Amino acid sequence: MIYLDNAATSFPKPLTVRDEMCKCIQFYCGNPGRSSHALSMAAAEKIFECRETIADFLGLDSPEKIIFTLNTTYALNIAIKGVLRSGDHVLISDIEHNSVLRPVHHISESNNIKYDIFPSLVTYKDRSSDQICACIDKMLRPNTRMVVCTHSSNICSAVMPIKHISKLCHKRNIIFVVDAAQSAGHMPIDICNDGIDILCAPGHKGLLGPAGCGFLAINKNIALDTLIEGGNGVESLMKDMSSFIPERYEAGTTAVPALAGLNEGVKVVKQFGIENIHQYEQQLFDQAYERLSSIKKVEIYVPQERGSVMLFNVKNIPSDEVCQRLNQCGICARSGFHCAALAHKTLNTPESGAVRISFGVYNTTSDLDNLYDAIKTVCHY
Amino acid sequence: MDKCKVIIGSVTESLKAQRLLLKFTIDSSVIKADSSVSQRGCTYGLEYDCKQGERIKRILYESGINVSKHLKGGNSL
Repeated sequence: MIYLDNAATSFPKPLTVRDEMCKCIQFYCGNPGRSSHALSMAAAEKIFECRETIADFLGLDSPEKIIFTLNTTYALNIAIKGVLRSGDHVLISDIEHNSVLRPVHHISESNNIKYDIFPSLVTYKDRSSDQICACIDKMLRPNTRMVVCTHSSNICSAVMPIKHISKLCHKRNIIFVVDAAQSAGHMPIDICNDGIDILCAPGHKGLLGPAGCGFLAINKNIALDTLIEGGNGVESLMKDMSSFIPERYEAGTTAVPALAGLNEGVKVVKQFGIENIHQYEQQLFDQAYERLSSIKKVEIYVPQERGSVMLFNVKNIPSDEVCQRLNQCGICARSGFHCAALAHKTLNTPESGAVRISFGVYNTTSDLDNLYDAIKTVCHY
Repeated sequence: MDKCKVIIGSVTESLKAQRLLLKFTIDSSVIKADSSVSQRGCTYGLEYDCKQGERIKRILYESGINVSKHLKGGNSL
């Protein structure tokens, strides 16, 4: 099997991830922060270690600013709904995933919150940070409270200039939220140097952890409302959620085995070296482009943006059919709209969406040779 | 060795305090405080050698880690 759907979730996972999850389930999987017994304390230690590993990886000096969630979607919902109030205005880019568009749209329907969509200019060959920031600047209003922007698109390898956008936001005291679903573990991120106020990321994609974990990293003193209230093991006699971070935003039992696994995944990414991963995936992109662009019927979208994600179509064959045939050849790819209708509209893909292949650290050139052969077969079928 | 306790709050904040003290070569254990210690309910802290009490107070204060109580045995200091 050839796995080219790492943008959905990474596969395979490192052996150390699997081994630590098994060890956790077998030996120390108590409920952290609830009891005083050895298993609860051991689980709490492992969770804290995971916070430290991630904080260090992202250039944050405070592990308690890492708040664990189920996934990026949950983290974005906390950030968006926790900050925005009635009367606020928010900007999002035109390549956002539904995990940004949908919560923003939902609160705009019910809470007197307005939103606008700024152009990412991804289809422009020579787009610059200045051009993008100029577009954002024109759309800012006196009541703009937040800008939410993907770091790297989930349907192509376009990267947004987050450092420049953050400078613009901070001049106007606007909170800057970054969706790092496709960049965490694929390219360097330094929360402080990049000027990110809130970063939302999954544990199960580039960071090589299992499904069921993600996090928010909060780099600013922001009074976030809670999305979910419940038991968190702190100040249990109070009706309100405790003010202690991160427990305030972590109601319910934490996914200890998943986070034990994530801890190992991040360590593996560190061992590979994030710059090495980034360069390697760009090389895979170049090799895939060289092969697929030689097939006349293949149209590749935004080929100038090189990274871990490639979007293409085969003329006259709907994307779902292409992926079904790829699956028959033992190749895993994803068709359709990738939970990103806004981005597909921006890239002007057809009615059936497109085929997305996405690379990870365990893909090889041989995978791309096989993909090339399979696409040729699809074209001649 | 006489044991003392410092009541901090959440288990995360207590682990953070423990790591900080380790940097100053002060050993401590994370403990769940007795339920009667706080009017707000469940709370965590650190147990340590009482001889280190003054140093610990200063280090935690200077690092911004809020302490709700210091206890010796089960009694407030």
